Amino acid sequence: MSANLTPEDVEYLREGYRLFREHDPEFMERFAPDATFVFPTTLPAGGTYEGPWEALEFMTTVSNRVDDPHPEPEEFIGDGDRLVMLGTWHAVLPTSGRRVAVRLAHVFTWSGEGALAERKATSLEVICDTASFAAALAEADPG
Amino acid sequence: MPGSLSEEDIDYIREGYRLFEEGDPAFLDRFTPDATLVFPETLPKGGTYGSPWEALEYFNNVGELFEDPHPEPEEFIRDGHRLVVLGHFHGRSRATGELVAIRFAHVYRLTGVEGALSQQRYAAFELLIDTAAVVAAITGQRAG
Repeated sequence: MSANLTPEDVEYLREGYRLFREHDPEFMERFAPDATFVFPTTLPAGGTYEGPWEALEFMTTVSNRVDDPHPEPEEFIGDGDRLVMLGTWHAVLPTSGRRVAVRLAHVFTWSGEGALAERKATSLEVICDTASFAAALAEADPG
Repeated sequence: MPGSLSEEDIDYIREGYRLFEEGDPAFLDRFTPDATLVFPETLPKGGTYGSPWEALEYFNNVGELFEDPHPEPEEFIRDGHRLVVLGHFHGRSRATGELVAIRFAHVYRLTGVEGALSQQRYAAFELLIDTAAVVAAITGQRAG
């Protein structure tokens, strides 16, 4: 239970993750056009991107290697303009059918104040067990 | 927009990190005796420990792998009984000599949902970190 986020905020966040999993481009509109995305540089295509469209390069690199990659949000920790999602990244390796689960945190910054649905995310950083993540991607694409 | 932590809370958290860096066992008192501490299993001695004393096995091993290891807290996010500290882990790998600054999130569960942090304890702790960067520093092998 969040002390700082409303049930509506949490539902809005969960819906965003559903949109992402369904490849609905509407999820991109939840970000400011110049939002900063930071992915660990220890992952393929990791680095800093400006704007959700540029950041698709990272997401596409991942989805080209594994099936149904998606972060499953478990809890949201909000405080001021910062918000942390704790959850697990899931995917299926096409080479073996093996399911992988990698613990991760998404760290967001949000513009403005009030209901999240009225605001935009201005940054997103991924902090995760990159050794597990990279091992899964390498196993999926041994070449 | 300001967060929900007071300056005193943030000083209290920073002091805990200083105690840890100095190897002062007082930092262990910030946890409940049966606190759960979780470290990624992709790291040496990673796993789940049932008390801060048991978790010394992990912390001591970090000291064997890195010279002057210390997490540097940079940002503090609190929501009720949960606290996230974002920062970088610093140290020099004893195996490769690499000087590292590796991004981490420390997730704490507090014993209370409100009030000063100094009146509470950590009932749980979880480390999220760029584990591939840690492994690369101690083995010299890059992931992927």
